[in-house]
Amino acid sequence: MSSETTHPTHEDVLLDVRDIYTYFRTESGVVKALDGVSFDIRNNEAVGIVGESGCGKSVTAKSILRILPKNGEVVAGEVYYRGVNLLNLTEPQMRTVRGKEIALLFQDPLSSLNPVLSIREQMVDVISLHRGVDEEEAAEIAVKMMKAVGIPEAEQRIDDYPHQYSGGMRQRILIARALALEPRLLIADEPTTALDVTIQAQVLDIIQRMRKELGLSLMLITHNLGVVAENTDRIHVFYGGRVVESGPTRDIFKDPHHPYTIALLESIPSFVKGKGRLATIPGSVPQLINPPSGCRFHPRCKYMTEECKKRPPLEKIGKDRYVACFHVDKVLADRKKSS
Amino acid sequence: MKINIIRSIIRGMFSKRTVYIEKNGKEEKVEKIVIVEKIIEKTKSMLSSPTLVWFASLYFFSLLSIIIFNLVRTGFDLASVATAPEYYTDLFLHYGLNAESTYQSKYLHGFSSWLYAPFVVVFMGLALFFIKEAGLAFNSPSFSISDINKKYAYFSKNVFGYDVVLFGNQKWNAFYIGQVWLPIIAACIVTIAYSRHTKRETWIVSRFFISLLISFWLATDLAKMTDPNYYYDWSLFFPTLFEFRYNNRFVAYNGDYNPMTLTLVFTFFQFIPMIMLGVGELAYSATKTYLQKKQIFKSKEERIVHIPTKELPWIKERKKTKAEEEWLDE
Repeated sequence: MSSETTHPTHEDVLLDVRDIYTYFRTESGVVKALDGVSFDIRNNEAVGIVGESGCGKSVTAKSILRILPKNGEVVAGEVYYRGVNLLNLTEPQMRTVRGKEIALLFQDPLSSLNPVLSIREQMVDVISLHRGVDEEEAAEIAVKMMKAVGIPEAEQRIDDYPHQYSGGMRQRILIARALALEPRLLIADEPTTALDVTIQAQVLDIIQRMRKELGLSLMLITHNLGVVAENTDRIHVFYGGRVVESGPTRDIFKDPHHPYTIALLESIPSFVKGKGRLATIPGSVPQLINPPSGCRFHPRCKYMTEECKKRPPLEKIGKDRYVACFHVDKVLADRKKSS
Repeated sequence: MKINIIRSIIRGMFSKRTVYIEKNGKEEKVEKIVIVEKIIEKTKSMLSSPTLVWFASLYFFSLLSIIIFNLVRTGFDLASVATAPEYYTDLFLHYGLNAESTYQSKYLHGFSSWLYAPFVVVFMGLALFFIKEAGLAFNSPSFSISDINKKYAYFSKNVFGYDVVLFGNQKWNAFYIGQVWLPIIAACIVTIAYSRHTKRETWIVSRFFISLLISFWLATDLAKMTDPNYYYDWSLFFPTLFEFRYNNRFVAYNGDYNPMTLTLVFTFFQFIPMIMLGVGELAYSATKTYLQKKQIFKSKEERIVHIPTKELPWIKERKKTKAEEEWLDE
């Protein structure tokens, strides 16, 4: 194997995304959707990717699996999965990774299922293709997985069509289909956005239970801070196509360091804080065709100085804690004062 | 019922809309009247449309070329700049059959010539460039004395730049290239850059109608030079359309240069710059796409490193599917 393709990583690291840049060609210009994103996911770990809409969360998932639209491409960087750079693989080799090694769960269950095929056809095809079993065995696995995700009368319901299922049930079918392939990593791209709150909780419970039972890693993409707080071990906070802060979930919620993370957490409605206007972040999300120079959050940041027009590095500030800000000390001092 | 509908439409038009504008980090409450806002919006949109940019830049570059040509022709002084539009208006209005005309067009002198000259040079010049046996000049190297009988096809005086012939074709001379083609090309470039920058397309219908109006304006004065007493009899507009079908001249006119024919001819040739603009926009988009693709996909092919599939860690440890076994055999 080529030395450029593999690299010695810590045994515990399953996925190591290193400095990836993903660009899109559009009518208005080149959209720099990801601008040097780095993070890792370890074995049996649940990692949350949080940020506003358009900050590059879904693009990261698609870049890892190389399923970007035709106008997009990862122009630089490395994505090491079990020590192999996925960006160096041929298309047939990538097909051995998608589904079987890394499964992807989309936010809209209806558009992920074919409305003219029964659930049996959709599940059996995928299982027999990826696991190399015959159709009978694949159907048995499908029923077993459907039962595991809480679909009653799975033997009968497997012959139903997607429209005969509710939204929550459809998402369960997708989870069952993804996990039937026994992947090592499940990327869930806003899996509960299209569902109502009670169903959201059920689906997240199922994902967590299955994750623990099957011993897989989870990359949970969401803009809902409540979801990551309950379901992840570590968080990577995205802003404008970059990681601005990362660390253990508990630490980030308890002691955020980046002004954007602080603002994001302050914008969560709280019963404790009492009445008053909900905190908002002034300004709007940066245009990725022509993003601000340096720290992309600086036009909206109250700590902004001339220095912020240079790109801040993602610096280690503690065990598993990283932050990309020149004014961490000032931010922390302010937080101390206000608390 | 109908009155109520009309009343509600009018009330809707004059109703006020509250908007919040951010100024210096503070929100300000502003009340706007819907109809006034719509009119301002529409006017702004029209004033900044690529169609208007096209005609404005065509006017500007044509005027610039008129002034430069006149400066080179007569010498570099202010008087030459001031008289440039008058000279070229005179040159075009006294073309061909109008050579002997004594009619004093109001565009021949003063400020009005500054409005008229840039358009007559480009519109009429473009038509004369394409029409065979038209738009010739006595100072052309290919002129022979026998052509003196074809005075209707010639400018009434020598045309500066006509004797500098390119590509061996008498129409491809410095006069047509410098005064007709260069302003058109420059206006095309400006309009393409503007429309790509603002993401607004040139609306071909509005451009056609404005070209038609300008052509009508130019043609009317050219026809007046032939017959100063002519008038448009608009009362014959409908009869000529529906009754005098076999003798249909649209509006009654007895002259040598029929303003309607000239209008149609000038408008027809304005489709050429429109096509140039369309082709230019396509070329711009194609070049941009190519450059972006080159920028984005440059490393795609280089990146693939051929690793044997069987050496991938997940292939080593698991039961292979049929497809995977085929790749391994390869």
